[in-house]
Amino acid sequence: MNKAWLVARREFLTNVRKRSFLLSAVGMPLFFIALFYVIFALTARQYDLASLGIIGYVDRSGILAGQVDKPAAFAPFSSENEARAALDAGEIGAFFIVPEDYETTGAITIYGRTDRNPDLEREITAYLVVNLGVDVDPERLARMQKPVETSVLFLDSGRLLNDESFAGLFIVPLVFVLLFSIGAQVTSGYLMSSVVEEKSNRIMEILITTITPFQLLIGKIIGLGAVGLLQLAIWIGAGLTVVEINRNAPLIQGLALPPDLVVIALVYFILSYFLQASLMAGIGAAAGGEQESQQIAGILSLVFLLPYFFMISFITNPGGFIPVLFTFIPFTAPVAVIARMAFSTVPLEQIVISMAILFVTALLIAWASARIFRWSLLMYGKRPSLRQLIGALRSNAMQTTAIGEAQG
Amino acid sequence: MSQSVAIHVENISKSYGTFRAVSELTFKVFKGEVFAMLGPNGAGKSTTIRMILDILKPDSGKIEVLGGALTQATKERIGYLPEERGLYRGVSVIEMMVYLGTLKGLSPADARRRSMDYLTRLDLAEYAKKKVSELSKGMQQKVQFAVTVLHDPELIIIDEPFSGLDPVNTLVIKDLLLDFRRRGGAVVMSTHLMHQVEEMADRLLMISRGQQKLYGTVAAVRAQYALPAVIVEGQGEWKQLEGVERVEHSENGRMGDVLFLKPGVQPDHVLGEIARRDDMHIRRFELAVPSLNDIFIQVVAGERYEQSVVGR
Repeated sequence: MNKAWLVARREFLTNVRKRSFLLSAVGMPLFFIALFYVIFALTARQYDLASLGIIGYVDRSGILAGQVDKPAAFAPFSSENEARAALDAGEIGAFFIVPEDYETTGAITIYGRTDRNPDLEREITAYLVVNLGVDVDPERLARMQKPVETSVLFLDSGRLLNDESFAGLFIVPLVFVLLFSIGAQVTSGYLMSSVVEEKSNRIMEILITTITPFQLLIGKIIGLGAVGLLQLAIWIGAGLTVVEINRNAPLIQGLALPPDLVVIALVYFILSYFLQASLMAGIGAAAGGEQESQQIAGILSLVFLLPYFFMISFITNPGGFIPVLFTFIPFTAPVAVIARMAFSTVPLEQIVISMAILFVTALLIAWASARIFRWSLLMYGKRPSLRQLIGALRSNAMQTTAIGEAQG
Repeated sequence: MSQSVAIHVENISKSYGTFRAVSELTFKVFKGEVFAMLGPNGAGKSTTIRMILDILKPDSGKIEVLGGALTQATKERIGYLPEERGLYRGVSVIEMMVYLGTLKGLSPADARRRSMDYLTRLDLAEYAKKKVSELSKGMQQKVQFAVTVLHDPELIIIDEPFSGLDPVNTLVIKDLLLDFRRRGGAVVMSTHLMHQVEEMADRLLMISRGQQKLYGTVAAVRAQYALPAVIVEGQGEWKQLEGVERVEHSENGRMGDVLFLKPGVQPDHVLGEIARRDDMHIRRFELAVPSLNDIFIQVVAGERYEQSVVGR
């Protein structure tokens, strides 16, 4: 096992110094931070009410005659034509008309230059409510403005979902789980190319007469797993820094990582990485070359991302059939469980069973990969057929080179 | 021969499906000798080597390496240089050597010191920090050789040790191999270069189609293929000699004439006869022992002939 440690050490050190690692460890967070700021800047400007300047209105119903609580930016006009002229002249940014039959229909029309502006609509609504309820007790009026302040307490996890923590509970776990799956995939990708490298440059024959295939495989999995964890730590560290710097930005308020989620996500990351890494090592050993193994890995990664395609079921019905099904499929369990935890709670026994299934599957795949690894090590440049692969899993003879040589 | 045994292969066979790659092979390799494995392509040399190294399992038979079945501990006492060579390309020479050395059980400091020693000896010291991919092919070959012997193994197994090396580097590697033998190590090399075998090997095993064709000391194998003839250089009508059946003159006369002897006649007898006669003088007298190259071709060609006859 000491030798597995040597392999692990080498894999860690060489991969951490690679340019591709720097690119994904540092480049990725930089890219996402930049993206975040761009989106933030764009959305913030779009909903800027002040940029509209003065908002005109034409009140044909007489409901606004009292001008109770009139926002400073609102200015009355006597006719539509007058308001229209002011809008065309650029004196006002938009105007709205309250028709005679407003009290029965509730219909108003907003005239503006650009897109809809939700803030403007909110502002108009608030102004109308105040004027409709002039006779109402101010405290009741406040309730009428906003009749429900939702908070949902998940009894199982003790987590509270309210308007402030909404973003944190929804967005953070999703980003988190995305990071974890990308992390596990990138890392197991390293593992695959490392196997393919050793196979294609023939160093494998030297390694295999020095250490056992299992030591080699375990060493690689541990070493590259450490690379993956380091990468995750950098990503999460970068994310937390950005959150900390922008504490007061509206999107980020109430953003928090529930500790139980972090712990469970970490366990899933490690298990899922173990599973993927073993799988990728097997593919790397069995495939014909770098390109072919990349293609197979690409298709497989879709399986791991499957829950994202069904995210709507997770939001609408986190305890429904599809989310629960994905919880028990080892490949989709990490994403499924984290997503379910984000939107509701997952019964503890389901988590335990799901982790157990994942762990056993990972062990099985590691075992199978070690055999395929051992078996196909020496079949350079030749891709074993499916039948040969199954044969490799069954046979004790390990007649690898055998078939390769006889055919060649 | 009282040397201790490095490899003992007993009656091993290996089939791939219906193809019999190695058939009932038995041989020993002793410590302190260079053992050559010869044979045409596809004869089963690599398969045999892989079975010795436990990469493949023989269908039947027994293999003992350095005193027992191959274990992880035994592997640390073996150096193996496969035919298809490979190195990690993206790392520095010294880093790669230290890694492979530590895998063979050396301490990092020890591995580093020995690596530098070998690199100096191989005239590569200045390349220690260079990336492997920056080295020429010949340099990479030398580095690979250094990796093979870095941990001071008791047995080294090398597939085609001189392929791709220029004459100067061939000499360097040859010296290292002979030095290794002098210190009591066993060298198994598989090769096609017969003159290298003649120069370096103590004993040889020639296999063809998985079967043993020749086995023994190089001298004994050559003697076994000796013709009932002698090569003579000098003046005289060799045909007049009593024991000579016929004479073949070599084309330019420089190589001497080949005297084929009558059945039962010993070369000594002919030499005595020449000595007794006044009309004959010799500058050179030797047994007509074929080169290993001739033997190789004879064995393999004979087999191909058999094969084609059977095939008809």
